[in-house]
Amino acid sequence: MPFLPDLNFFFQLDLLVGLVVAAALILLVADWRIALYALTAQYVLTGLLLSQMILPSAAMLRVFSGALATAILYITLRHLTEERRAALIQQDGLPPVDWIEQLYRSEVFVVGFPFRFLAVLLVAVGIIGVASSMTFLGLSAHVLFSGLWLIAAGILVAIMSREVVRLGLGIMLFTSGFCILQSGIEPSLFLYGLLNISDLLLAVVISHLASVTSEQVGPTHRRGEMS
Amino acid sequence: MSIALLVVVCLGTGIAIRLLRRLPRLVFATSLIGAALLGAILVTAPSTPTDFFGRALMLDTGARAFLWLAMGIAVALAFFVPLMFEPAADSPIAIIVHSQGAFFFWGLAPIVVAIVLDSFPLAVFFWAIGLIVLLLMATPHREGRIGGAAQFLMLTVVAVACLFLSNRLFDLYPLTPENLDLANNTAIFLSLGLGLVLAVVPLHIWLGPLSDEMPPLGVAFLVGVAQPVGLWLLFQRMGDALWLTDKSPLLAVLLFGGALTVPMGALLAVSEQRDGRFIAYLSLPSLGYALIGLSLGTRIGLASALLALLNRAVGVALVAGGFAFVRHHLERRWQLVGGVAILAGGLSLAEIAPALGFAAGWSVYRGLAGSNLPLVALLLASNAAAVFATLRTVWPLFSKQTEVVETGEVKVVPYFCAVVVAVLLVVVVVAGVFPQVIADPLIAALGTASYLK
Repeated sequence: MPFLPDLNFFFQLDLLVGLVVAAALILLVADWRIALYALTAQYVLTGLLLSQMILPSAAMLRVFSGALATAILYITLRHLTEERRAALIQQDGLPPVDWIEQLYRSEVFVVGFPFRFLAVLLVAVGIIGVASSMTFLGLSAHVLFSGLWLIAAGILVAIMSREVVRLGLGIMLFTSGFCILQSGIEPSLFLYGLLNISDLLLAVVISHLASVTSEQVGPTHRRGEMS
Repeated sequence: MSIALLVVVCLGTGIAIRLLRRLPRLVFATSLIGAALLGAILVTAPSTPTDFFGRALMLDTGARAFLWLAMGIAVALAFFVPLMFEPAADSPIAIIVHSQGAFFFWGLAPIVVAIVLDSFPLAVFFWAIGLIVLLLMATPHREGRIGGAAQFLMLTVVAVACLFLSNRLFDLYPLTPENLDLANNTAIFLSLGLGLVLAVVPLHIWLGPLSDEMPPLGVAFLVGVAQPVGLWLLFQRMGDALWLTDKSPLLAVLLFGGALTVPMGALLAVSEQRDGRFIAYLSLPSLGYALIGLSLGTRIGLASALLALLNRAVGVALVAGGFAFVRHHLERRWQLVGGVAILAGGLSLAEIAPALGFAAGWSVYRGLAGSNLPLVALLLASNAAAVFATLRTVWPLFSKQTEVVETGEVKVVPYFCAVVVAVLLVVVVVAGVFPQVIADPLIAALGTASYLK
């Protein structure tokens, strides 16, 4: 079966392209519903990639933990959207004309689309250059690229986000990338399992930070000032 | 088994406090029962290692001492929580504030595991879990917007990744000892990972924004209980292999970080009026002293580092407890108790005699006097700035004469908490006057680390 290595190459290429697109969508699209779909797709693709490095049953754990983390974030975002929708309607009795924009495409990022697009391009080219020209602890090029890309995309999302949940998606991307690298360099399945469980805790904390707000302090006080 | 019991008691006490959060006296009593159980388990726990998924849970003298410190300070902070009770408040924020003790015990559980595990990556993982659990106490100021807590969450994840990578490089270097890049990269990732979470200057930028979103007692738990675990892990790592300090610039990095952290922390504290930030910044000089003590690579340096950690934990507990009195009990006598606690804690954190901080600082001055006199002068000047910051904060408490009309309500909890303040004061002063009582057994247990001269 001489064509099998070629098929494997195409399979890996598909995974890499899928990971690039999924992470780029999270950074480029403000609508949280699309971002959550992209995060879910990223977890599935990461699970498929991991199945080539560790036991497929263990790799599936990544998909399950990712699905649960995404579900936690979805419930939180749905709740926040309902609250915002109610607040919009309460202002004048009717929803504003651009209520879809306000609900789903609010100011999520600190910079505009063109800057984010260029940043994604720059980081992708940089990671391709790094992964194709150097080795790291014996990792194959496609594993190194996948891990570094998700880590870099996660940091990029975190840097450019204005909202906690979007930063949380960046953290999830980062942990996925690191999970790929860690699985490649460290054979401990126990640690791998713990990393997956920690994603759930991270999702819970992100949901907490997104939904809890402290009381307003007086105009003469700075943030954190109690006296 | 004993470690599992410690974890179960921590989790159980946390759940009980959460359920009883509307009853401050019972919260205090629950914390007391939890503390008694933890103490009893630790006293009777055998020193034999326990298997944990192929790794060992070691309860040797060093781990035991560190557990006493972590549990003692966590319990002391949990005692102060009922001081902040407001009967009418039932908002989500009030629920979090009233349940702070629960988060302390829940955060303590993974920290206990991190202290006794003999595996560096697993210990780092459990340490990070303890830090992340603490963030459930944070309350961002703008709904949905990124604040200090979210930044800290991201940085914690990045730091854990750095520490895991450093662990892999640490395992690989002995296979190719001629490859010094591996040794250097190990030190770089280790320094970066620990520097981020410990808030070593210049990686301290998250500390202020996080302090704005955390209750002052939560900040005290972070810097007094959770952060020292990082130094404990660092010390263990340094003791695992001589090459880490011999063939990499790790000690120089520690000295540099400590020398920057002490003055920067003191300067930031001088101009600070926010309680959380004041506690966080005032704790930085002690962290700097601990780093400098570790960087000396001598037994006396190690002793000073350990004393600095103890001083930092007790000092921030006193200051945070003092603020709990001052901000929530306006009667004159409780204002004075709070003022005394802040003054004592602040002076100890400023390394002033007869507090414990002076003993920690003295060992560092002796270690540096022969080689780096300008740094000693810088440290002393930083101490003066920290003293000024403390006096500037407590002066209004002692000088103002306003008397609040008392309602006649019997308040028992402040009296209990005043006893806790008194105990912490005694610990700071007695340990400061007789530091060898603490330092000698610790050095006997830990002074055999290979990197020590």
